Amino acid sequence: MSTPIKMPNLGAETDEARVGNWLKGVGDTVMEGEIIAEIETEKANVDLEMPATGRLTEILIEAGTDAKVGTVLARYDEA
Amino acid sequence: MTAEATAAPELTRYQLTEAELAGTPRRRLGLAILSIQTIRRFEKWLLDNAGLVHGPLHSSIGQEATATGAALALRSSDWLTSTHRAHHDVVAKLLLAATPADFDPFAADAVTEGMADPVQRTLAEIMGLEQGLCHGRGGSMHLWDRQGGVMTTAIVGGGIPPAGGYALASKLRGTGDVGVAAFGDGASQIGAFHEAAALARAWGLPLILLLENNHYSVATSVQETAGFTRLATRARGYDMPAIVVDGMDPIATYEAMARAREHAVAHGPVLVEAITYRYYHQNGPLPGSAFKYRSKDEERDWRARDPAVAWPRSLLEAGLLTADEVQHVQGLANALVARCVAALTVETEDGPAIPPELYPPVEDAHRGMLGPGLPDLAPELVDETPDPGAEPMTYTEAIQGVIGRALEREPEAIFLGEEVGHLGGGVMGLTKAAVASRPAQVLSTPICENGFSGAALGAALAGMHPIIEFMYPDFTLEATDQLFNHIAKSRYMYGGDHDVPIVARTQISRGRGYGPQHSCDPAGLFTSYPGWRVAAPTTPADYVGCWNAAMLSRDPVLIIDDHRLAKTTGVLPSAGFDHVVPMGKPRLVRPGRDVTVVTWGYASTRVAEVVAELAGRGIEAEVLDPRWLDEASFPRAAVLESVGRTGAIVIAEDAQHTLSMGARLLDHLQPDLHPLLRTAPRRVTGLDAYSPVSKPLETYVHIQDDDIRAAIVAAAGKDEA
Repeated sequence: MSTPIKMPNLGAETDEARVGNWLKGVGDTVMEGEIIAEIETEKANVDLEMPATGRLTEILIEAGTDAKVGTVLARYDEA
Repeated sequence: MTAEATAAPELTRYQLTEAELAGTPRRRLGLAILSIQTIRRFEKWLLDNAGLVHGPLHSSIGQEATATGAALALRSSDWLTSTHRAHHDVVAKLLLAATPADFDPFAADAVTEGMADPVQRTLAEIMGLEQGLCHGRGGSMHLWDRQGGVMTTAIVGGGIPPAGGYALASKLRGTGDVGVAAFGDGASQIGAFHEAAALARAWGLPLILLLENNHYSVATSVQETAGFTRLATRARGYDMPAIVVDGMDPIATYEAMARAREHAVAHGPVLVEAITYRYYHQNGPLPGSAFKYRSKDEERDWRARDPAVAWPRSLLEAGLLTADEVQHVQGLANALVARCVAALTVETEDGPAIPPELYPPVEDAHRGMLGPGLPDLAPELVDETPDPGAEPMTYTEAIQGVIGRALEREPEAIFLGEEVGHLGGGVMGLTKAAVASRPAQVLSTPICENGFSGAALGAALAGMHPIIEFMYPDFTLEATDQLFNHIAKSRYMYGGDHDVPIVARTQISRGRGYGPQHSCDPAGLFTSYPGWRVAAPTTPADYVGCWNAAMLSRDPVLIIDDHRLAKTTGVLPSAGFDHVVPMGKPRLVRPGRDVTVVTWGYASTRVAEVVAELAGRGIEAEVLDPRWLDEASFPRAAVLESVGRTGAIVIAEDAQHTLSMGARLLDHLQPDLHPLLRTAPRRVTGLDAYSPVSKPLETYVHIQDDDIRAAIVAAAGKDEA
């Protein structure tokens, strides 16, 4: 069952942020809490963590692209 | 008001022993789990549904045990102020204050209606709904409930002085209640903390300074903001004891707070530093480590002490509760939050949504900026006819007399300010009668304008009637946070329904060579913040009347006098020191047909001479003294009626030009003013310079007779006879 990873709400100041860099790729198996991407806002760069251990199956938003809070950025299959 | 001397203040670290934990009543353990789990569920639901909240969410997740331990140690009638991060403090205080004495968390099938209600109203307020604690005006950061005893403010440190004011009311009334100011490590740097601590120590107030040290102000560590980490040592500077406690343990926090409470009631203020941690960033659903100002390892260490997980587990391991008991109480909490959510949302395909009918009606957006005005007044109280049997008195005697009368009439009126109880009546002698007849109600404060203004707010919200004096108007700038962020906004942002009865007084000191920092006219400043009413009475009778209206008002009122009027005289109406000049009622100083001159205070004494001279030259000016200057209280209709007859208007005041009221009053009179005018409206003020010390310069920057004369002649628009 594929599970979405969404652009997190980074606080009240912004409803949009940029995917700065993907640190994991499709097919990688990632542990819960590992950093999979860097998210950039006007105020800060934050780490996007893997919500649960699993294998990344899709990356939907390329690095360098802005996305609204709640946008599905990637999908994974839970281990 | 005095405090007892103490030996060297103690700084103790409270360590809960196994025996003390084992001796803790099971019910207290159960209530602690109930409170912690309710807060955790509540906060998690908000973070997961942040889209339903308009505004930031400063989650308290991680700090639940501190709030819970504190609330367990407090009476429902104790009063707690907190901060922008206050959901834990508010839910714990309101839930536990509403918990019946016979409520058994292990036996009950559900919490009672009375316990659920304030939790639901807190959630509703955070979501901006009509049934919220403040009808949606305050939201997450500005929460208020009189019954459960909470007030929160978004200004760092802003809640500390009002908690001191509540403690002051408690001490004066002898209720045995305490004020508790919960605040963070960041707030221990700001002036409000220090002024409130100084005032509470000087007066021995039953105040607990609950410093919830979560280690970070936004992304700045305690070490970086303070230069050291054991913030409780700040208490030493105020000669008050401090207790450091593990804020991740609700029972340890309870024991420390219970000891603090006992000390506060018996001796005076005490600081409790609860060592705790917020698991998330300043606001939003990400951990602080995501923003790279702290490490994941540090967060993991604190997560291992999670008060919602690790603490109940420790009770099981100690054999104090069974797994079934813990699960039962957690189930009560989960059901409570689910019930609140169900009452406030509907399920849709896209998840929960707020039914539109739960929002406050937009027609209410302006309701409650001010209170309902004055009660009906007996005609003899407002009759302005001078008493034929009375002797004239000076303006100063009128001020002295009416202040004394107010304190005699109201035992719960208290007069706070610097030196007000000394020198036989303060530095200006204006509290002379009050000091003579009601010395216990006249409280000389330390030099802490923000501290005593905030104390006035707390005392007013507790139902007392504080009067505050600013020795010079410029000193109000020291208190701007309490005067404008708090006092001006309190009625509105806390729901519009409760009274904020505070009278503030000050004296304009232009013309005495005190220079640029003692000489402002504060009317322009205070009228910039609706919520304040502002009176500038010119005669002895007007001072008495405006003062009594202010005392009857349920809103904060500033009364401005001017030392240049001190020796002017007048006769009071037959109501004497009970005379009332209601808001919106001007005084017709002189009738006339050619031009309306609106003037008050010192300027009006200059206008009187100029107008008398012009009358001899065929220009008849009508002079109106508005007495009340804020937009809601200004006598707009009466001014328009006068201009309707004269076709011209001049506003004359002695304020420095940029700080003056005239432009704003002209705007307030529009659009109805323009069609009435034959000539352009004119304003006369002082020069736009801060009152200089050198006598000829000072005289020159104040309002000038020549400017008044020129404005009236031009506005009248007729050839002189």
